[in-house]
Amino acid sequence: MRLEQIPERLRAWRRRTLAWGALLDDQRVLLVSLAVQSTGSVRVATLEHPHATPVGPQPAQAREGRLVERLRAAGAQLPRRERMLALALHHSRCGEGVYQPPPQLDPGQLAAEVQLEAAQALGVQPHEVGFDFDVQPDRDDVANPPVLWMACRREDLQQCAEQARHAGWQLPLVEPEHQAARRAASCLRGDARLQWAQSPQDWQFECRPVRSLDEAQWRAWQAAPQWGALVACGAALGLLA
Amino acid sequence: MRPRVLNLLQHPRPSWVGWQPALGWALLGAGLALLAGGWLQAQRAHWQQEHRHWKAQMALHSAAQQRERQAREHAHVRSQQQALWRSGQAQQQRVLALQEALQREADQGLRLTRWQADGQHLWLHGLWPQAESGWALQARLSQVLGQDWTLHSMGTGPHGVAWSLQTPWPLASAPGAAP
Repeated sequence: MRLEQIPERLRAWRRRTLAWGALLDDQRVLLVSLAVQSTGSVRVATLEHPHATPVGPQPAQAREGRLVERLRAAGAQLPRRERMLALALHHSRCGEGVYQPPPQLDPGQLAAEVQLEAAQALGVQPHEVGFDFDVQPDRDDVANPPVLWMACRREDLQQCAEQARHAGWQLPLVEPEHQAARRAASCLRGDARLQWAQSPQDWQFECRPVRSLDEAQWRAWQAAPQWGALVACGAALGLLA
Repeated sequence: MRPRVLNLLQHPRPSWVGWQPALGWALLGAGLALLAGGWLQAQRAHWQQEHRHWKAQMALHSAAQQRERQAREHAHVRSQQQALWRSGQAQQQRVLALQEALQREADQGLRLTRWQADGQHLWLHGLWPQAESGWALQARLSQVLGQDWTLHSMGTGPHGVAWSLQTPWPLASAPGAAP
């Protein structure tokens, strides 16, 4: 075995076959798990339907208490290595945008600029945001490409991480629900026209995107009753990526 | 190409995150060093025992060599002493034989006036009634001693013929010497 093949072999050995994702919004906590099949496709293994909840926003304490309760129940039979969760946050708790940075910034300076931009957009101090960004390939301006950023309040992130830790889970990934939903929708297998009639329990995914969504499809997904399941599945797919 | 997953936990990163690979390698190295140290420590007692064993073997071997060398030296010295003793004995016997021969010559009229030796030569000075008998005396003494005598001087005096004979100091290895 050649030396440069070792990291790839290690990644293959560590590649997980079960991933958990959750959607946390103002009204509900939706928890799903995806299992990687021997064929390489991914199917829904667990879909925990949210219990009936009062209409309207609930206090954050009650919402997060439910998250701990659900995670404890789901992880009771799981080994510690499998208790790893990807969480999608409701879009009202996140912000995103495209930033055009000044030319010739090093990575550290670019991160600082994006942090300032995100803090300004969320209306908080720069040290109060958690964020991530990615340089977007743009053919028009190769030397100075735009940057896509996503952010939310660090306080929310810390609360989520603390709740997961209390429940005995690790929280390696937190992302906005739109990113998770786009990933799930683009990886979903089957005929796009039949997906509306299909139960989320029967969904199967590919690990890589197999279709692109146009704006009409995207709006239809956002209005569909399966939106929550799509987001949670997308978060779980983010762990498998 | 698979789009990168933007993770809100990614930034701001703690200052130690960039050092994770180096930290991992350092921890791996430290772990390996600890393992090697533990293994060496576990082997230490065994190696010390081996060291003591080989040290004792070396001491035994060198003591045996020392004894063998001393035995060789003693044998050499003893053989040298024996050879020297035998040489002295032979030399002494030759001188005694010369004395006996001179005694016999004295019974026939020889008068030995002086016996002189310096470790390298031997001189005999004496008187003899007949001059012609000097040559026969020289031959007889040469036969007794096993080496030639040289007539050093000869002269006529009132009491007979005075003569002087010289020979190298008799050595143990001279021809005719006693073993």
